[in-house]
Amino acid sequence: MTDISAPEDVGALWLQMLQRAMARAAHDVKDALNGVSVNLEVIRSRAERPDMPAASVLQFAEAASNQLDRLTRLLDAVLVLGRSERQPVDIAATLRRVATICSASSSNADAAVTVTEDGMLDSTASRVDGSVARIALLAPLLEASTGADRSTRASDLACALSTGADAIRVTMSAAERRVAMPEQVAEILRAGGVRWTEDENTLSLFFSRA
Amino acid sequence: MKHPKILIADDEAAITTGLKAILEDVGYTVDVVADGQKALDALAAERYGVVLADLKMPRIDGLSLLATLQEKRIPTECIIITGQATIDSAVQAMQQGAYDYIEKPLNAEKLNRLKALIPKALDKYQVQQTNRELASKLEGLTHYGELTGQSDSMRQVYQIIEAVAPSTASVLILGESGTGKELVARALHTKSDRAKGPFFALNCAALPKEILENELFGHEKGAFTGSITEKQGAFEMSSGGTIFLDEMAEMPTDIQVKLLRALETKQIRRLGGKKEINVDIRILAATNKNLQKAIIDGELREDLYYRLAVVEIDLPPLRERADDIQLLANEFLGRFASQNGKAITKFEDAAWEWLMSYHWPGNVRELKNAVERAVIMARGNTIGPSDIIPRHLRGNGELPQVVTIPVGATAAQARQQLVLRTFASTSGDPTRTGKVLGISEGEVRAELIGLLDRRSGPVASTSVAPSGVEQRQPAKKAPPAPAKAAPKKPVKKGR
Repeated sequence: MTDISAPEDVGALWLQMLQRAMARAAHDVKDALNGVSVNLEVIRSRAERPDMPAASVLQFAEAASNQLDRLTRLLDAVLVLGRSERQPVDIAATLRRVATICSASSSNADAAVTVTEDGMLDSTASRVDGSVARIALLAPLLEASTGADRSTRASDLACALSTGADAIRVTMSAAERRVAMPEQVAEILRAGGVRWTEDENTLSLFFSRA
Repeated sequence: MKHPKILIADDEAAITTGLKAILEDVGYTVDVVADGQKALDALAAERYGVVLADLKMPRIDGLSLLATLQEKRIPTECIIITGQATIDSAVQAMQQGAYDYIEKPLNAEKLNRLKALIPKALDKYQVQQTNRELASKLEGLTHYGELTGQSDSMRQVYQIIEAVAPSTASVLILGESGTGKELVARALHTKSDRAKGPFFALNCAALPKEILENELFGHEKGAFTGSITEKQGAFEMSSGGTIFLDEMAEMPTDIQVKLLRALETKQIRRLGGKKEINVDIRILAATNKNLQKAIIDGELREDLYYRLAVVEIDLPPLRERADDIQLLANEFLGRFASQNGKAITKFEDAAWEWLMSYHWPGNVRELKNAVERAVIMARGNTIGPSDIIPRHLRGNGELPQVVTIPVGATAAQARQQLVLRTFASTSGDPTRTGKVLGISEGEVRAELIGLLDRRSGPVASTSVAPSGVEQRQPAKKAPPAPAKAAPKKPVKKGR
């Protein structure tokens, strides 16, 4: 992520990252709108034909609805992530929103970003600054999907959330890609109290609990 | 008629499902694949008239898919659909051979445009598919209907006949006397929907004006002195079929007016008649005249010319398709030897040399007559130069003083023609030929032997009978192999 410089202002860095993620997700927005448009056109043209049973449009109404849901989730995530984070930050909610945005940009590489949560999940409120936590979650996911486009199918990114006595743990892994914390944001994250470990394909992040 | 299938290549399921439904609703059969590689796999397994390809896809994107289609010559028309339209990518797609380019979002307007584009793309695909099938069918043909020839120029003629025959267009067949204009007309008739109807051939130059008019339009009882019964003309008798008007430029101009009227109104009136009679006729006409001059001289009405010459077929003279001389000569030899109960199997070298060097002003008809005469005259099992060369052409008779080299001939072909014609003009004297041309006798011999070498080898011929049923014909006997080898040279097919 060479475009991420190291600005002093963590909030500015966060907005810069969010903008980049949205630019990449824009194709997904267009695809969703195209899907809505085409499916509505099927409904319109079939509605004009008396020989077409009403039930024949159901599938396309559902498809259009699904595309609108996809858009709504994405835009909700953007709206929330565009605002200042309340303290203490909820790591689980932030991870889900970040994953929604990355999932949209990763879909250009035909790869999914999944989030699984431990069944025994405790409170995921953290003492870490909201913008720092967002950067810690978004930066590695964006880095992992950089360079992937539709001509090279990327592997799925799996995020798992669990809670320990002192920390909330997030692991990010991919089958065929290295998931690591970009060097450019490492200093800010360390200063913000975020810890992490890396092995070949997995990055584990630790956020101190509130 | 069933449409060729359409293939949608796009990884966005929400779009492909809707697009497939829209196209299926208007009667197309549609398959969907999620990336460029799967599109190539599908195209390898099945034929698709149109591929709708997204520009951005996993594995192989739209432009790469397009490039592969072009490179592998996969027959289909590709329409690029993308949400990332830029001038560059549009230009690149069109330059790479895309049929068209549509930008997302696929709203009602774009979808209507797409629905309008697809039939045109399918038409283009089907025309090209027909041409490909035709070219493949005609490749290797030595016979077409009653026509014989394997030269490029004759294959072009076959291709035009194949394309034009099913239409109702009038055809004007141009060519020197003896080139087979009537055979072309018969092939056009036989391959048309009118094949079950009559074929009526009329030579306009052979009949006086009154008789020609009577032959064409018929007459009523009492129309003229001696017409004691009514008579149908060619237009009536051939209704539902084809009339072939040979030497049409010789037709008197007042009959040309009646002919034009009949062609335009599809009605005729018998001589002495008052009643208009509906006729359903396709006219094929032929001439060996310079039509532009005939029009300027007022011998041929310009409006009739344009009415008849909807399609023109130009039959090449035999001297411009030397490749066919061997094929035709061998075929005539087999036919006339059989008819005359003779066991003649081949032409002698010297006879071949003359056959190949003579300029055949009377074209195929003259060659046919020469071979028939030679078969009758020959005493042994071969045909020698004395059998084939007409008496009036022996010695310093009518030998060509000019060598015609068609544009497009190679230097080797020009040299070959020059050697052959000079050789013939010296009555087959290689020494004198060499002196005239300023080359050695050895070079003359090498050229002649090289020619025979190139023309030797049995020819397995395939013909398409008028019914369209393919027939295999036995290999024709090749001209005798030369006594000594000569360097082979590339030969361009005669024109």
